[in-house]
Amino acid sequence: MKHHNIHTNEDDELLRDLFSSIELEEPSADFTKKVMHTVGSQAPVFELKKETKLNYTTIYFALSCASILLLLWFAQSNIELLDIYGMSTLHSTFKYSIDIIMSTFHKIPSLAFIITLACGLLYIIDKTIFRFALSKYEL
Amino acid sequence: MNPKEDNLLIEEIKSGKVEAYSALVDKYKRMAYTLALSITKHSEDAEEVAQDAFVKAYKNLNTFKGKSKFSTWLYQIIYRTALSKVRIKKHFNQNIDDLNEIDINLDSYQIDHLERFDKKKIIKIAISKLKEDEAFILVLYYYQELSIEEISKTTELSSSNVKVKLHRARKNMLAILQKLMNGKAQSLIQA
Repeated sequence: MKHHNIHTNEDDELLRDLFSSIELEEPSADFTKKVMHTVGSQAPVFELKKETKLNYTTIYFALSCASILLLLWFAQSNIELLDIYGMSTLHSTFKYSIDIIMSTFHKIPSLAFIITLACGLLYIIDKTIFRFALSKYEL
Repeated sequence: MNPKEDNLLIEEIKSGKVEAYSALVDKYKRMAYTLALSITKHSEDAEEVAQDAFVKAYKNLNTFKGKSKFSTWLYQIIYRTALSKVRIKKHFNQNIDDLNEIDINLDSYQIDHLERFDKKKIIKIAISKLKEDEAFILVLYYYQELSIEEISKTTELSSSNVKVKLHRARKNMLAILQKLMNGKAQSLIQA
């Protein structure tokens, strides 16, 4: 017996006895048929939901990868541009960081490094922003 | 059918076998309808609520992770749907804090069964006279033998709140039963 939270007394026993004699109410004979009819007509919505979710994931993945690739390309080839905007401190800090990363990973093919980084970022984005958006807008 | 079998059925449904859902509906329809009736107090509303709840459960089946029992999850949907229905329709909102004000209007059918001292009918009438959430909690606790924690999860009330409501529901239920057995009902029967 699961009832541990409320002490057993005569009233409790009486109620238990009475409730044990309950007969569940019977809905209409075509209850299941009606439910299945509604469910059947909505079945594509259920499948569509899954597909929509997959499509959004794919689009987001592609966009994230493209953004990260662009960012890294910019950092490697156009870092001097930062000077134009007078951001010399940022330039030196950024360049220093990129130099460290590149010198650390110089033996690893750059593509593998970029993919690893992209996956890491994507994982964080997926676990936070994307999940939030999915639950909020029921995508 | 145990919860594991329910989960197997759910997996089948999720993989596209929609017709497997009818097994779940068949299994839980009577309990669903009884619970809905305990809140709505009206057979047509209860049928509508139970059907809506099954459709809602199906629509959101992809969010059901199987961490809790399917039945608990379904009862939660029934509870929300039924309360929403009652609030909209304001069909039955009798406050029975003061039991002296209860108007137990028994129809001839009910009196007939009371004469035979039919426990099944007495409990049915008593449940129909309880407040909606109290009736729901009592059915889950005494009939379904759910724990306080499971009822808490189903109703989204805190455990202490469930205990308070359960205590109040028991008290009201017993008072109604007493009235049915010794008071107005007896006088009606004798009349």
